[in-house]
Amino acid sequence: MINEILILLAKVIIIILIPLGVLPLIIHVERRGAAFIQKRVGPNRVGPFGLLQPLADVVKFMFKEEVAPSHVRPFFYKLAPIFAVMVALMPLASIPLCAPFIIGGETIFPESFRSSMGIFYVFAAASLGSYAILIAGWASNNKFSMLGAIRASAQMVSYELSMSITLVAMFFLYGTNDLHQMVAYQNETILGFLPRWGFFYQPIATVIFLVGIFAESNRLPFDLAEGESELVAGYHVEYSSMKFALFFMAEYIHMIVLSAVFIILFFGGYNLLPGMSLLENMIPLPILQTASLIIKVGLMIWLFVWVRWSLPRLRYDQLMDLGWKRLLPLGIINLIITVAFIYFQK
Amino acid sequence: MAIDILLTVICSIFALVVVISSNPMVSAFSLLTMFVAMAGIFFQLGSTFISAIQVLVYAGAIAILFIFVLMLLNIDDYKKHLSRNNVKPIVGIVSAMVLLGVFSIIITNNFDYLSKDQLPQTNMMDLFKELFEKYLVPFELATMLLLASVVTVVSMLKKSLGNNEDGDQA
Amino acid sequence: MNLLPVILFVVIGFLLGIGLLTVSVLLGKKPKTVREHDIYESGVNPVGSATRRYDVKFYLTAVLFLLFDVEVVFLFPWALTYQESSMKGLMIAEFVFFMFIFIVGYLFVLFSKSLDWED
Repeated sequence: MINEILILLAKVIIIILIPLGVLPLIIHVERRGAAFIQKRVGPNRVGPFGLLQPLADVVKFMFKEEVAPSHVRPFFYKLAPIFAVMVALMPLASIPLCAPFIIGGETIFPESFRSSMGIFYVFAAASLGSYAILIAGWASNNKFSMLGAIRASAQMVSYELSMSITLVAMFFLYGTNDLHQMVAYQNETILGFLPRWGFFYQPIATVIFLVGIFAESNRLPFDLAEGESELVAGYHVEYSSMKFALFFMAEYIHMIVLSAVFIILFFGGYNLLPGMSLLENMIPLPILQTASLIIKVGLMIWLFVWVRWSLPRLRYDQLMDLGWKRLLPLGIINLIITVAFIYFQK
Repeated sequence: MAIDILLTVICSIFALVVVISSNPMVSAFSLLTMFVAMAGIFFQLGSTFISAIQVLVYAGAIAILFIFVLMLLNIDDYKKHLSRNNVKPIVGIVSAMVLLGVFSIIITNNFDYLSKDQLPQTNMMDLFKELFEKYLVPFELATMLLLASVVTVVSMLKKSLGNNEDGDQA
Repeated sequence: MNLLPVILFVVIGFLLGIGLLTVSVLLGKKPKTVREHDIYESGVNPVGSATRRYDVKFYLTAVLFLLFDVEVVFLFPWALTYQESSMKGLMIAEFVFFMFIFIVGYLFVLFSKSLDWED
């Protein structure tokens, strides 16, 4: 019993510490990447290559004046950032970092919350993220915040629908909703050299899902929730100091979670990267698998940065058009093609 | 066991807040919390799929819908016209009668309660198989119902979509 | 089958949020001026209140999402059982009928211009 609880605690702490640990690095990559793309220098003063800049920022956030404007609804105003972090962490409970492994005759599952819900849990928990934004917008009692919040939730909801439709196609292909089995399915090769990743079977679904995770995490080119040019900063106009930092943190954790789900669905999850199997004798397999998942998620994060500075923002009507009139029908067509293909193949 | 009790307590408290709170937004957010706690109860009872759907549909869509309705109506405008006083006695009498009825049922009947082991052991897949092999007509009828609701919603809102000067453009 | 890990995550997230906020409250400067308490509206005095009526479009989007989402939720179990089912033909027939209704509903919404956001 005590053993079980210790193992559970270890799992929880590892899965929370990894995203929180790489968070400063991601923020640094984002800022340096932005500078690189725009031919600027970027933060390079604090520490080697400016690597300590995020830490300096955290310290700065802590010492900032703690303002709660008088027109806000105080309880909900303070609750919103806490709620955002809470909800952002929740889906992590079911993300598998590596394949189940055996220690001392006991099979250990890497995820702390294992149930027959599988990916449903991750999806359901991630869908609660829009409430943090709604609470923040409403509690701020500010026109810009309200507009940003209501826009953001309508946007997240619209893209969730297209993502759900692609998810149906993926369930149909894999025949399971268990994240481990999905990854196991992708562990083989097709045509002798290509890994059997969901991406090669479902390129359309991959694109829809990719657009969906950009919209779900409110990142450019879908940052209509913030919309700097017309809404100032959207739902967090009235937030400053640590409260703002918490929203920031929640957004990045959300990005990491959605990237991990995307990788698991379409890019082989924790399956080893090519060439990594050479190291198998030296390093235990679970560590290698965790490393390859982290590397893949890292590449996704770089894609987030890259897209952010490459694509122009959409107008709100274009955004809704893309979600409801392009991605949704595309998802339906993709589902029908998938079903027809698998049915007639046999 | 402790988790079951915790979830039930959370669920009851927030259900009460939904009814008692004078601020409709607070009610809506409490409703959301209640839905999530209820999903937890479903999970503890072994219906994992239902609990996922509870969060995805109820907490993820219906609660958002309520909040949008509140933002759409701008309750503060209507508060002036609302007075609760003249309905208070009626509401009081009706709720007292309902409570009496419930208590009389509890007192006059001997209730057996199910323990968790007595619940039928079902797995998610068994449920699905039943749905698509035995209950396929209700399953298809459900879509027809949803289609009917889509048509209703769109036709009802068509009028308000026509003249937009009432609401703010966003 | 235990919800304990999820509750652990919620508690940890809550403590993390509260903790960081408390640190900031303890270490941060206290606000001095009254102007800081004003609504932020690009430095101009605020006009009107924030609780105003929003476009009915948002509501429509939410309702349509709800209805289509319920339909998709029905498809999840369908996709999951197909491979194990012994009656593949029946399952496909159900799917065809279901998608037909789904697409009819979608086309109705599309042609009723409910999805158009520009005027």
